[in-house]
Amino acid sequence: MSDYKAVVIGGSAGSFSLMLKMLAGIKSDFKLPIILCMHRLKHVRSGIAESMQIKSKLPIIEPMDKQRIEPGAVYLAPANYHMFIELDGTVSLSTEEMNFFCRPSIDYTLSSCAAAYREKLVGIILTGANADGAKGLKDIADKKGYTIVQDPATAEVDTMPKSALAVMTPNEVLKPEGIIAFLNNL
Amino acid sequence: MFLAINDIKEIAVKMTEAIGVEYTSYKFSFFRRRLSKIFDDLHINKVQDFYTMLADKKSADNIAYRMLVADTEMFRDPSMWRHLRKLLTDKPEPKIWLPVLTNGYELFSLLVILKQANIANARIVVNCESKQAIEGLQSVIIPAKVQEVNISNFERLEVTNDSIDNYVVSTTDGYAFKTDMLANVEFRNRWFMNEAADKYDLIIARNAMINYDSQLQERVIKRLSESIERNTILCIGVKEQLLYKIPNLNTKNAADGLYVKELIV
Repeated sequence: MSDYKAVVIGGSAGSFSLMLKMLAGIKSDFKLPIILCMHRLKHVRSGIAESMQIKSKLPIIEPMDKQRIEPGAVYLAPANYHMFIELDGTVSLSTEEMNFFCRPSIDYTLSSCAAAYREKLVGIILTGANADGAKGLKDIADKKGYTIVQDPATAEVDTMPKSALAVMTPNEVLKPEGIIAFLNNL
Repeated sequence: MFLAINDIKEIAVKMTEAIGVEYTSYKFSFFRRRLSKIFDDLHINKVQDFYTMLADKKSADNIAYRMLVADTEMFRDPSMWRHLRKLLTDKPEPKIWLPVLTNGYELFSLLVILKQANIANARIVVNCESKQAIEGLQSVIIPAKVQEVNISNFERLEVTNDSIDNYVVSTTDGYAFKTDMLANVEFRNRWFMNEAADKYDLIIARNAMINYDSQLQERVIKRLSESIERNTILCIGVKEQLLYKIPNLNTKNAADGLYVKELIV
């Protein structure tokens, strides 16, 4: 049984197709919640979760405010809301100011997860076109969580993984196949 | 500036007393973020300096103003506005309540929708705890970048014989609302929970309750329910839950956060 309580993943440009691939590869008996924050078009509220559900063996949920995080499900940050995880394991949504011109902000989701799960968290940064997520991943590392950055050489856009690597040293730098294998071995 | 948990809790109590809004029942994480932003933006380095500001009426109002989360676009969730416009066609003289005003984008979106629905005789009541927010409506400047988003959303309203230019004027800094649209709007400078109960045909309270804790959210819904009668439309944020069940309030379009009080059978 894993000592970890949750996995949080952030990604932007190029991460949607990668997430589909990863979700398809994650085992159906995966026990942890996966909290997913991806930059997305704010006016497109439907389609992404549905597309993910086709590939994923785990349920894909776009949570409501104050919804409880449960094991074995994927929680996708809704369009045009920041998604925070509270200490009591519930979701807090917010329309506060954008971060890096983005809402949802990956930093905000990752940092709140770091505070909620501390060393029992796995944080992953994938491909993306800006620096959002770097600070959040550092917060996870500072709380002794386990951190993974997608190998920039395999990223469709390497700005986001390189930005993370510029501010912290992750536990691992992995190719997508390596990230899937890591998750399935938790 | 780092704020200790006890400081934050004490500040919430003092803000509640000074401003008349129950900040003690705001979601703690939200309140902490908002407070940190205010301290940073106003370059406050000591909690005592903050208390000094709170003691001054105008400065306290500025703090109340900064606690509000400004809308970042007009016609957020365009499908909701389209749907609402259709529902309003059955209400030629609607009485409308916006319990929470921030920077006016939501209010002006409503005013545009009413025009498009050919409703000239709406009566609109707007509550806001910040006088600065209310007065600021006369001079809201929409940055050009934001206006691009507004235009995109406006196009999603799917009205062919209307233009957003009918509602804004160009300025040197961007765009401004045509404030003559506010003619039928009554502003009340107090927190909506302190407002006497009245009945409305439409209540728009989107994305405010997400900043409250569960207990306050439940009380807010109960309070709103006192203003709901048969066929009242309640509009909440698309990702907000009704933590308190209002009898006979049925989903009209859950994806858009629209509810309607149906006939009691």
